[in-house]
Amino acid sequence: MTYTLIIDEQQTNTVILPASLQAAGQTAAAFGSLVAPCRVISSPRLTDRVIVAHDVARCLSIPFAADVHVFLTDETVHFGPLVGILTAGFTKSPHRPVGSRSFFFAKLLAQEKRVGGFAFLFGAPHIDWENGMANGYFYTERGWERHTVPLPNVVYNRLPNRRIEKEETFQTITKTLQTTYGIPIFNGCFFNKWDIYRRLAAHPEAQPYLPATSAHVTRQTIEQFLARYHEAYIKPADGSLGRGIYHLAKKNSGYECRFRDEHGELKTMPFPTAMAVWHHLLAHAPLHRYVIQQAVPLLAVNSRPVDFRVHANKNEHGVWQVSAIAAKIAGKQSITTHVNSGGIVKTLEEIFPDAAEREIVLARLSDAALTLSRCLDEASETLIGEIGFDLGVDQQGRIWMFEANSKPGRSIFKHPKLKEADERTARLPLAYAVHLSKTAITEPEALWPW
Amino acid sequence: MSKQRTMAVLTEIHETSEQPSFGSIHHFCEELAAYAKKRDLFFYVSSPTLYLEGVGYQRTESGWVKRGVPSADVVYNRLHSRKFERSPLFAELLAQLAKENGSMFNHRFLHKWEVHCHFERHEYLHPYLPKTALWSGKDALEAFLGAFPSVFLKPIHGSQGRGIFCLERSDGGICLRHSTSASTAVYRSFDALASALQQHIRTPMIIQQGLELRTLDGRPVDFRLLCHRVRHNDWRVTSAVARIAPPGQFVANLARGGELMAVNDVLRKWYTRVDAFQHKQLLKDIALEAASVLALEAEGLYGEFGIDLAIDIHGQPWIIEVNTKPSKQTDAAAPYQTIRPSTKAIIDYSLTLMEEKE
Repeated sequence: MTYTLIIDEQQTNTVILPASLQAAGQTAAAFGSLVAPCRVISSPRLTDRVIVAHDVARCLSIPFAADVHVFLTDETVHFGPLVGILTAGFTKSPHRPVGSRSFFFAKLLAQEKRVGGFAFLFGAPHIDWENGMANGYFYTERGWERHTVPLPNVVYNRLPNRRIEKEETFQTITKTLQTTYGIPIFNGCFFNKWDIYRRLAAHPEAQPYLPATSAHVTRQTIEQFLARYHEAYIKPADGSLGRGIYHLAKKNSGYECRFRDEHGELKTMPFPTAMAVWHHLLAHAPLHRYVIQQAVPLLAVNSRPVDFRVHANKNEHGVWQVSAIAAKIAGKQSITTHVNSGGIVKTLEEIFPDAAEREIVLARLSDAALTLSRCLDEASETLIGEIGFDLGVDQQGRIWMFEANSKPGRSIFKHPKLKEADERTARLPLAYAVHLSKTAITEPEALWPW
Repeated sequence: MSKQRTMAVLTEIHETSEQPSFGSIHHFCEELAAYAKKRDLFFYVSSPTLYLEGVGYQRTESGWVKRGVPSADVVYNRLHSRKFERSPLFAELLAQLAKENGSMFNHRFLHKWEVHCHFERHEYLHPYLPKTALWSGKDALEAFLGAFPSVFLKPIHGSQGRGIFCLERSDGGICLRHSTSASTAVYRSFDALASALQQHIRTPMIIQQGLELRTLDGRPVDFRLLCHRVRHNDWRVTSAVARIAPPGQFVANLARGGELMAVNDVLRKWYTRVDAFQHKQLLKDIALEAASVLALEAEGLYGEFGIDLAIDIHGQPWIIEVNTKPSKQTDAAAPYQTIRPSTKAIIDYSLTLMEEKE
């Protein structure tokens, strides 16, 4: 339930709540990290509005009137939530604050209206630690606007890449926000493939979805994997977009290795022995940062292998839900189904015209994604709000998990039939942020059990 | 052996002389034919009537030759008559294409009001959309004139800057100008203006917030960005030009005597190098977002749009309008011998559509 927050120029030192929110001795109002003492009353004449006296609004640095959630504690009435989206790479242009990613964030922030509250974009240079304030970028009907606001109730991490995430500046920021201010941060970090595998493999519910994987790419593991599974992938543990992936297959005469060279050309090289394969890989890739994974014979459409991108998000109740499913058909001559190597995105309807068949696959993929999300969430020390899974269906109908991405790409959403899923996946992180803010305000012990 | 991939351009053909003429896109068809040949694509130009008879013009070394042609996998719709797209013959053509599992882009003309409605559904585009309403009488117009110093009235089916009214509040009343007749009249009262307008408005119009555009030598400037679809619903800007309105005019369309300039040259006259770069990128970003949204929202396939943008005196960019059959004259800066990026884009998109079906 959201309320329209109105800033009243006549009133002073007062907050008026609608009758449905009964004031019970609260003596202050809060916005983000700021608290202002004031008179809190309820009025039977208000139904869906809250009135905030202008001096209280100014004191709390509420940037403008908007639809908000209201959370009550014993002493304080909280308006918001104030959600900070942390990123990097700011430009000096007021119309294009984060360069080519500006519209990506504009779309995300535009969903805030449907969710309620205030969301803004900020980076390291915009935090004023001395005063506990942030000068953030808001996206309004007039475009990008800067407003100085308190530190947020929650932070949604949208740092663009692993390198920046590891920088000391950001390590310090996230640590200070969490420990000093008690601000929860979700989607704290990029997943590492091996780390994910290790955590999930320890979970009996998740284990059946995992293809055999090893963090040791050696002559022995190459031999073992190919003897057992006939085909395997060698891929970077920290990679994304399908870069630097090798496909190995056992042939009568030895081994075959397929990969894209530095010009993006598909290359196929034969090797007599596993040792020869390993030597070749060793010379071309930092194998200590690679994993070897069993290749699964995938379901095929028009004799092209298909895998599935399944997005799972925590919703406004903090519960996992499947928010998008798309199929990716591999390019004609491709190692993977990644769109930039010629893959094509299709909807389940396009792939499975038969409704009964489609329902079965949909149910299996959803079950797998929800189970894996819960398992990952349990096994993780950080708060996760969204995961993009790459799942496969093998020729026996079994579901396999190839990858889990904490910051899934959005290229599938260019498909016209995935328009609603596009908006849903942009809206849900903000909906989850509301849930998280409420938890942080009303039952912080639930968030910081350790 | 799979069937030869086939692409057809559908347009109005004038068959009076020995060689056919494809009107304003004749040169463009030559280019398409040349590039199609390179990409091993069977290519011809046809009209709706000829297409239904299985006849088209194929480019040979001796010129365009009329002959029997196979049905097309992909049809590029360059018909210039909105009226025709509403005719039974066009419906018959669509049915025929559907039966043969052929695809057609652009599906049809999109008029100004439906384009606006498609954009409006996407809140993140709101900062770039001038306030717009469908003309339904003088009340809405009065509200617009109360809210903005100037207001435009544009026919929803208009093109090339024809038939546009510009209304401006001035000390003596309201000044009314017309883009085609270049006439100016000042009305003392709103009612006098409204009754004069009522007589002129015979087609559906939109009312649009007037913008204080940045100018060059006092002449308003707008930007035409040609956007093409590439693989997987991605869009690319294939050409961009600035158009400077002729002195005394308020529209910059070429057909109205506008003058072309390079986008960079215009932006550099207004901004520092760094700011000019950001503004150029922003124009591109907005055009690409606009193209993606339209392709997503509108029924049928779209592979190209001409997106008209402008920048106001505060540096805010605006989406002025979208052309679904963009002129091929604005990106003719390169000599005709070379194949323009927009030509390649049309062929590449057609090939993508074929691949997706294979």
